[in-house]
Amino acid sequence: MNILNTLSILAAAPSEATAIWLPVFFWTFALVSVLSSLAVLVVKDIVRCAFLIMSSLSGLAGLYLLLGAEFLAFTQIMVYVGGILILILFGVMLTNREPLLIKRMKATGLVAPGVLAGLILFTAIGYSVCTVDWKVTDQPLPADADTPARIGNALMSDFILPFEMASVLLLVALVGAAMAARRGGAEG
Amino acid sequence: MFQSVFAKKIDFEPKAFQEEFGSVINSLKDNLPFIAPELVLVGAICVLILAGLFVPRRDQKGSLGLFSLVALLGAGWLACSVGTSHFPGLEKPDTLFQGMIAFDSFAVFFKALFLLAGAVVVIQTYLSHEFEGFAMGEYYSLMLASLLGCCLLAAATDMVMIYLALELVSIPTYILVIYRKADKRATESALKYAIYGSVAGGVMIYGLSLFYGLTGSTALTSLSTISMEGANAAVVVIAGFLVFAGFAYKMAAVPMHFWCPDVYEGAPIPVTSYLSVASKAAGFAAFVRFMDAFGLGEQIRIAGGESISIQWVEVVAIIAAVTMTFGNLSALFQDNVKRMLGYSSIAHAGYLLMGVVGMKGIAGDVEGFQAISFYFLSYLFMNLGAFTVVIVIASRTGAENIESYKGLGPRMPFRAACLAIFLVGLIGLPPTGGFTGKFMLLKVVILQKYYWLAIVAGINTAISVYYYARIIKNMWLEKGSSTEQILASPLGVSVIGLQAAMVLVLGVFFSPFVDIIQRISFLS
Repeated sequence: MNILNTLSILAAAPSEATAIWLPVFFWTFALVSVLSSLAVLVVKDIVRCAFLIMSSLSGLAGLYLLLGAEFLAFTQIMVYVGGILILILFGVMLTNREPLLIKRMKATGLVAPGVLAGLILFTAIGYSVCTVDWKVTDQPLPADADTPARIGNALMSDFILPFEMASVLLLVALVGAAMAARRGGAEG
Repeated sequence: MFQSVFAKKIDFEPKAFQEEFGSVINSLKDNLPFIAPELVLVGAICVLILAGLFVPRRDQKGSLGLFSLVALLGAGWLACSVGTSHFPGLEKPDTLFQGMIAFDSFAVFFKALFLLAGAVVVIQTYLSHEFEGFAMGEYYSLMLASLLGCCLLAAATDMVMIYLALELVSIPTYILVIYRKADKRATESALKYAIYGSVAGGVMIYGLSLFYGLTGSTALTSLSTISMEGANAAVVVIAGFLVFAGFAYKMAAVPMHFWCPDVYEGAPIPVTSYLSVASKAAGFAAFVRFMDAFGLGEQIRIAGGESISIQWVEVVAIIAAVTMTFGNLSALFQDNVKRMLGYSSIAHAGYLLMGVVGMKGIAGDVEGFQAISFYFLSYLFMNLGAFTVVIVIASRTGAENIESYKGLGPRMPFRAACLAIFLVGLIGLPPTGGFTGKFMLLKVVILQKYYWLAIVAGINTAISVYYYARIIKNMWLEKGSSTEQILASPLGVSVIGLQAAMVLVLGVFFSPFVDIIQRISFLS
């Protein structure tokens, strides 16, 4: 708790002395998340994949923390790292005795177009991010911003319809996933 | 900061809360009656999931189907009555739920259209042989959830709502496509569909987040306030294309059409017919609303002292021409009826995009979005009708190939004649609703002086005659291997007959419908 505490205080109110540490943290988190996502592409064992995804998502959570979005950071860790990844690991553990290897397709003619498409998207978005005068607020986040309360209020007032409809979406997605995963499907 | 989250004692003061949120909560309460049809759908979804556990499996197709039918027709009736009782006066709020969705005649019209289409698809499911002995509770609840997404998508006026509704339309349909798991084609196409859908959704959300960064708000109305100084213009173009990818996926327009033929072929036929009408119409409704907020490029904006304008109309016109040409040329070479109708639905997305090109037509005349509305009304009956006959043929004879339609005419005269009417409508010949609809779309683009697009559409109509007429020719002029009569069920015959009658009514006595269409307007 202590480290996290310091970090977010660093981010929210950078003083002269602490400001120099911000880039260090930023680049550490950024490198962790980018490098581990790249590694997911080449690793074969699905358990290793899960752990790499975990470090990538945790790096992202660190970046959220640096932005002062501590609620988002903790949600990220609880939902993705704590929930989804553990589920993957349980799935592997309960279904297979041997290590589960991902069978990758042989390099077909799709590598070059794929890389090209990725580069185009990356350039387009990178260009946008770097050049535009984004609509940013110049007010610093107050130290007691209380973001969970604000998010909760927004979800229960302005965004109540999307919030409730997301619950319908989750319900049917759950029902559908159970149906699709059942042996024999709807017939079984 | 963390103390504030974890250590701070939360003081809940009812009075302060009432002061801060009382008016918001009251307005939310007032808004509830306006989404009555959606609430009925949500209730029906829950009932269906539970009922699937208790109703014996062999009865599920019929009894749960009947329940869904009643729910859909009830919701449709509610949509119309809530709609008509507040129009044209519209003293009621224009947007509901803090600007999340609009309550306008455009949304009401499309809601009624989706729910009617859903009702037809439920009947088609009952007629289809594909679900014998299946657990159907999940099927109908997923179908209703997707329809709920359609209703919200047609009304959405906020980027959060648009994205969420789009996913609510898509995700249940992934499961519907794979509902017959034993079918290898279904598994393959569902996987393609799901991957394609999530990529399209991901690309779209990149665009939406760029717009959010440019405006600082998720409301669609804020799109017109984007300042076009400096680099912004280029980024608006990038974001516009990224968002278009999401809509094009739902509309099955080039270049996001690749999933369409495979999924149409692999899915159970009622699901195919659902995808070809309801989810496509929802994509179009949202696209029309988005383009209206985004601006079609009429207004000249200033960039660094120079005046420039982004002519989205040109872009949409080119995409329309490419889409219809691609769809029609590919449909020529298909042997599977479902696959052929898949390519034909791509071609129809191209025709319908003509309506977006001429969206803001001449005042007093039929405007582009009204032409789209009318075309969807007739497309609903033509396309769903054609699929109903295809389902009956597949259930009775197991035939899905155009070759095996040979000699079907004399074996099922009434239904084959109705199929001929549907196909003539899809070509766009009089006296069908397809002709009236296409005439309006052409008129709209001609009034906008897009003569080349009208010519391309004309050539495409001529091309499409070949493959639609091939089915009619096979049915009536060729000799088949058997001459045995094909059994008719009263339900099937009456549904097919009703749809054929509607196609003819929309082609001959169209003026009352055109009157309704001309009164449609949307919030902008």
